[in-house]
Amino acid sequence: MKLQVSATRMELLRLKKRLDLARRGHKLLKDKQDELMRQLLDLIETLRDLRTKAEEQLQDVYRSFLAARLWTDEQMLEEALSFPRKVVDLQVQERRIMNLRVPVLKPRLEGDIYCYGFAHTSGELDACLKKLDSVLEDMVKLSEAEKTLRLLADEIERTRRRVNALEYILIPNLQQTIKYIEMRLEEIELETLTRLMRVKKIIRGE
Amino acid sequence: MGGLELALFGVALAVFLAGIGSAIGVGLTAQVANGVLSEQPDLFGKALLLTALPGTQGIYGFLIGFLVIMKLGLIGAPTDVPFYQVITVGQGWQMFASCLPVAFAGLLSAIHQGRACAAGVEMTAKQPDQAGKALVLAVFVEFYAVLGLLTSILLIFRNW
Amino acid sequence: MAVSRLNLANTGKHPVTKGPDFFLFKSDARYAYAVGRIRSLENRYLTRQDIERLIATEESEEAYRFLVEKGYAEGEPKVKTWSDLESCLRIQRQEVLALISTLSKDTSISDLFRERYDFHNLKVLLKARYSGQNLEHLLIDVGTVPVEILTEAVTDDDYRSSPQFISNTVQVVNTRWEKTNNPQLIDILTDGEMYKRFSLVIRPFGNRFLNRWLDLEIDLANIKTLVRVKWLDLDTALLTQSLIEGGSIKETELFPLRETPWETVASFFSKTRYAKTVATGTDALLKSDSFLPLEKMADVTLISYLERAKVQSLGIEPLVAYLLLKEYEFKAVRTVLVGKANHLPAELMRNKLPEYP
Repeated sequence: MKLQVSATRMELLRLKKRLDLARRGHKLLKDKQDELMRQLLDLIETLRDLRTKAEEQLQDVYRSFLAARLWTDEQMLEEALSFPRKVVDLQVQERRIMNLRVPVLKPRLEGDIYCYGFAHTSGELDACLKKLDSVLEDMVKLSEAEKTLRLLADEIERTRRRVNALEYILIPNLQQTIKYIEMRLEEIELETLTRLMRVKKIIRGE
Repeated sequence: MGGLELALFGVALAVFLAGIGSAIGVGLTAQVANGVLSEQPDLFGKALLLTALPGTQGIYGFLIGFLVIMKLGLIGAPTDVPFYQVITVGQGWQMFASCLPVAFAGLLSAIHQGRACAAGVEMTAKQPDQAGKALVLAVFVEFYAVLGLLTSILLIFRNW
Repeated sequence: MAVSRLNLANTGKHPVTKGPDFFLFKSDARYAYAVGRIRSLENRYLTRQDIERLIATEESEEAYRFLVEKGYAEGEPKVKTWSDLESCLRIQRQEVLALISTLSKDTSISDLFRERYDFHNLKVLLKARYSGQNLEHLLIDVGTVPVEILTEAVTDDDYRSSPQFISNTVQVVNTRWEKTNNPQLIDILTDGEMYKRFSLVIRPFGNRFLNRWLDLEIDLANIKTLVRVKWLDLDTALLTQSLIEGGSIKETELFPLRETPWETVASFFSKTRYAKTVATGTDALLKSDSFLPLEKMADVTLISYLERAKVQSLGIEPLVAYLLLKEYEFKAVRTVLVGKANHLPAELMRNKLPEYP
């Protein structure tokens, strides 16, 4: 679609500059999109590993927990777990991928995970918490990766929208407008020329 | 102390010692039976037999007492010279001794039979169709009470 | 009168009088009615077939009907789900405890088994106080002290209306808490105080059956603790605090086992009655990372001991044994119910079933 501009030479120059800029922007964005895409694919690979590992471990944890639960009175079990000692503290830092800021989670795990007496609990609970303890750090890593993945995907989406806007709307529009202005200018030139020739003839005819 | 007093003392011993034994035995069994019946009322018939069993010793004691009283002529058909009027101290001691077997055999066997029967009732609670066996086993204790009774009877009916 | 003196020979809080008990041979005739009643109730232990049937039930409604038929409490009128059924078990436990309390002539002993729940409630309340949470839903109201009174006592920090052992325990826990701020110690110290209380009541009572039961209970608890601490590689100090005094194996003999290899542990116990328990238990633990075999074997030891009371015709023993064996039965039923609620396959449930009478 043609832009609403007056067909002047000034405007033409301005538009040509804009078109140039748009082309360069388009190329840059396209590069960025490709790079993000590559990062995304890498991340998906690691994420898949992390996720299967964490899921397997968690399943193990739940299995032991169920075994502990089967043998222990509900209230006694919950009492045993009601006052945990393990302190999980998360430090969030940032990392940049291109111009995208993604979080880096640094967990600080303190204290022992075993927070109950032995007389009224099953050993299965120990086994369960031992596994849970080892899975904790992986889970933090997993959540970091998942968040990064989501941010990346969003960014790619946004970049692609921009690339498309440039490629399919702005650049064609500019091109069209430039073409229009050029044609218009040519027309005006032709008109002027014709008028000049006419004037010359009139002067000579006298 | 005269012969009559000694003989009567023997009577008293036979009746109350055997009676105490039976009371303890029956009481114990009855308590267990009550416990069982509170959950399984339909076992009453079987529990009843076992509960009554330790009661026999008391009856034996009473029987001997009665026989001695008869022998003394305190009750029954009047004779010219009732025995109790002519009884010597020696005969009194003999009467006294005759009462002892049933008194002590009755006392102890009743208590232990009570325990056997109590266990029998407990067993019946678990296996109602085995009550007969419990009864038979408890009757073994009865055997010694019967021996005491027999000895006492033999001694009393000897012609002094 | 000789006989009435003998009837009292085995009573109450006093040590048993020495000398042969000629008439009754040391059985306790006061329990005649109680034992009769218990014998009838013993008929209603769930059998293997009953548990199998419970596993085979499809709907919770069906399981509920089955349990009621087997003499379990009616529970709440609207039983719908499997977890509602678990509350049914809780009511049943309450009933068994109440029954034993009414039948028992030695309240100090029967109360002891309810005091267990006092100690549990105390743990909950102390944890709630120290952590500032509301843990009211974890209280179990079957102890000797009603939970309202106990709650009030802990909130006001005023234990005059509670028994001595409560204030003692609170004092012990408080002193340690102020120094360490370690919630684990609340459990460990309270459990320790609980066993102390058991020893304090049972030992002077002088009943051989109860004495040996307490030996077994404490020894097995200590063995489990030792194995767990060793397997998890926890602190030795923790072991020192967790081991309970008063069992037949001295805790001082157990400490060194923390550092020795597993074979030494098995050989240490090989001359005791726990030889099989420890050998099977540690073997399974090392091979398959599972504590269940050890715990199962420990339960087997206790259950087979308690079942000896079935041939005792008079005395407090059958009552205590009934109470404790019933707990094992509840454990088995709970396993099935929780398993059902979590859609465990029947085969797996059978594997996980605890030992029961």
